[in-house]
Amino acid sequence: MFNDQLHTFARSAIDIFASLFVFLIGLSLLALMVVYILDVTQSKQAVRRNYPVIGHFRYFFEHLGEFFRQYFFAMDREELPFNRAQRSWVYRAAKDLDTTVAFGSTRDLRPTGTVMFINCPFPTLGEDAVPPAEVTIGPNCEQPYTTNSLFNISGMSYGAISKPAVIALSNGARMAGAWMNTGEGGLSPYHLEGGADIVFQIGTAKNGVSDLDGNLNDDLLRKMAEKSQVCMFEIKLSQGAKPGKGGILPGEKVTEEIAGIRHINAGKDAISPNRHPDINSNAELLDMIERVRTVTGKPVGFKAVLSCSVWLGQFCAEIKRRGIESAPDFITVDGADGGTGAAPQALIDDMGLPLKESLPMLVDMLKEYGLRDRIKVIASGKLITPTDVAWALCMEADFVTSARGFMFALGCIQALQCNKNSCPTGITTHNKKLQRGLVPSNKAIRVNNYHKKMTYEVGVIAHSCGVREPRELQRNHARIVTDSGLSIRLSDLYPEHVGDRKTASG
Amino acid sequence: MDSSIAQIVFFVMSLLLVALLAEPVARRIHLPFTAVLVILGFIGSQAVMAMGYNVVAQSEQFHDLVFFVFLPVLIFESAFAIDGKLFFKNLAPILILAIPILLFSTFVTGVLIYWGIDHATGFPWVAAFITGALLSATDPVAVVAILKQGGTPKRLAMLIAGESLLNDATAIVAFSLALSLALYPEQQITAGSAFIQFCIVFFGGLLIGILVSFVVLLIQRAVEDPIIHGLISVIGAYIAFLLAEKTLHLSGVMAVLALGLIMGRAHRADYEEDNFVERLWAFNAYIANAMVFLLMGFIISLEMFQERWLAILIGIGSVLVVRLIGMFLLVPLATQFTPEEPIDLRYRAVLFWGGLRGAVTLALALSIPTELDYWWTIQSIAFGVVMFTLFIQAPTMNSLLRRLGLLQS
Repeated sequence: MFNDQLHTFARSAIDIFASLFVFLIGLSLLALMVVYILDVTQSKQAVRRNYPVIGHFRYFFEHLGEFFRQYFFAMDREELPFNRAQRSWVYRAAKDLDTTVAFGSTRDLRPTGTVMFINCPFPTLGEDAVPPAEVTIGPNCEQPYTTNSLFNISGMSYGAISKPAVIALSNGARMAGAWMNTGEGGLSPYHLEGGADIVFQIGTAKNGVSDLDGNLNDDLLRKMAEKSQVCMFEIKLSQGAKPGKGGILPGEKVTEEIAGIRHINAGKDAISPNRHPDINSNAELLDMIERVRTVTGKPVGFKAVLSCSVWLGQFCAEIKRRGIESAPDFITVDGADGGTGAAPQALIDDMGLPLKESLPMLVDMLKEYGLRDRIKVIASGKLITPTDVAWALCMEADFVTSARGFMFALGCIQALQCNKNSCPTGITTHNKKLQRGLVPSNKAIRVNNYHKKMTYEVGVIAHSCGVREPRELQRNHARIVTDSGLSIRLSDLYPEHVGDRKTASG
Repeated sequence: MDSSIAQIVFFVMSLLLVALLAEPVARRIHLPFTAVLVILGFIGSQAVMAMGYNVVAQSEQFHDLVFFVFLPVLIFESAFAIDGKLFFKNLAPILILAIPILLFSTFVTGVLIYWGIDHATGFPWVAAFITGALLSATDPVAVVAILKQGGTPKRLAMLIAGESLLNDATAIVAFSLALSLALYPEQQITAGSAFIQFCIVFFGGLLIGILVSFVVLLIQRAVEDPIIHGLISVIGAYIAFLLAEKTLHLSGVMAVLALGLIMGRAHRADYEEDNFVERLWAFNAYIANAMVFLLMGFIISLEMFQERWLAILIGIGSVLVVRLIGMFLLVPLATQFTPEEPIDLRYRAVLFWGGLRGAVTLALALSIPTELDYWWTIQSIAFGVVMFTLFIQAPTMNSLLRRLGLLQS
């Protein structure tokens, strides 16, 4: 009988499922027991030891909490390093979407340090506005560098960021006419691929231009300078996120490719000392600048976190003593709030001055010694929105560079995984599966959009302040909220030296 | 006549007194402590027999004594004292030594002995494999004592201890399978079913050990008293062994081994070094070890060596040849497929010559039922091999280690 067969079949099926069910229950009980045993017999984590098995929920929820907070509970202006409002602006700018907001500002204008621009009763008319002027760096060099790009890409090594990220940035920079800094990891073919202007950074290990012992090699330097794309050389003394700290690229990450780019031995740990071994004084720094400039014929400057005004004065005095032509062609001042792939928390949090203090210090010191025209000032460190950039220009920076702003344009979601090879957006990982998400041709366009929008909106601020172009912004165009709750003009806070900078008054 | 309990107490205390005296004697005549115990046990048995008691006739009782009383203690203590981190770091080579190489030794030793004795009716294949299995379990007690003098690399000591800890379980399971085949020759055993049976017994024992340790840990965490902790560990060890071995017919050794490893880890997390439970088990193991070797001396008779000397020599030869092949051919072959660094040639030399046989071999030999005609031959071979390793290999370990530069003088 068919019915009987069906019946037996159903019977045995139920039996099988029942025993499977019992087996699975038994297996999970066994698993719980093993977890219990492991928890109570370990001595490293107190919570697991005192609350075996259920203690695991704490670690699980703590892990989840990170995401919950970001998605559900963090307010627009709450997160650090960059809050949602800042990031959203960059995302929208990069996607070329509408960057206007409705109803009113969500920004609290009361806290100390808030910057407000002083609008002119008679703003600049559109037809009177002019694009940012061209600026020439190192006019005395054989091959000076002239650009009109206000906003440029700060140093990110190939290795710290992935191959598709470097390719997207270099293509985007070419479209935007911005320069791109190589970071201390040497010049990779991917930096060159897009055809953008390149600033070659000479890190403490002098990757790419040193012999195998780490000494600067003039032949390699000359060969580097022969590449027409390489426009300037930047000697990196320190970096905002970790002044006084070098780094190690572990041997297993030193692939043949990386070794070739950096001119080091494959498979061996690549150690970046925490200082250039051959630069230990103002004299040696100027000697090095002179040497690189002579060999390459291109503008040379240095990047540093500036905190000590006494030293800065001595340095300017040394330049004056040697003659104004011995000066670096530019100085990149990096704020303590700059970013990095990996740094000790003590250095990332507490070491060095933020740009707010170091930028005016540098500008004032250069003016005092009459070097302001000779040395161009590049500001960097957490400047990713038009407000940030306009503020830096008010403080009389000539250029602004940013790394993380452009990472946001590439799709960075601030997952804070840069040091773990698990970047979910493929920017700072070497995991091919994660890199797959980053398509260089699309992201290059976003890089260009971001740059365009930035220049445009900085221009909007400038015009509202009544000047014709962003570089005409001055200290008297912005106010900053002080402890009293009332704001004060930047020009009162940082009194102007008798200007030797040519200005169009605002 | 005194009560029998009083007799037993008197007997056990005299044995322990003898053991106590053995220690200084061993140091004086440069023999391992265990070897001296065997000699003293033998002398004792002769004396007792001269007084008119027949001790040897009781030897079947001795099997249960060794297997159910002393073996759990010895296994638990070795597992308890082992450095868990180092053990798991060297788990791959230890497992290779303890499972495939042991099964290989069982098989090849059996084949060699079968050919050597060459008497298919009196000593069939199954007898040869029983012998091969019980001869394959190594016992590190004598060697570990030497290694404790210091200067030997930790990894070597771990390999020796870990191998003997795990291969006891394998050997006992293999032995039981062969023995059941000898007792019930009509049953069908294929290679596949033997393998499945082996896995069930082996991992089933492990599972029992985990379950028991879960309960023991629950109780231990509820009470703060170290004496209770010591007591619960003793109870746990015996219950795990009996539950697995007797009730469920799984591997008791694996159960006790798992329990010992887990309890050791728990105690290292809970206590300072040199705590009560640790000392309690050192004490237990000292007594168990002394008793096992004294009993061995008690049971040995001169007739064994007079009648079965050829079989004994064949056994010794086979064991040495097989261990030589294992250490110098199979180990380097097998360790090529594991991620850890290969085992140093000098370590393998020590593992070869330091592969002594002891309590497990003895207990298994005593457990062979007398209804099997060849029980006497197997027991003689087992005793002969144990004696050889105790009196020839163990005393020369020191100079071997020194010559290899593995011992600080």
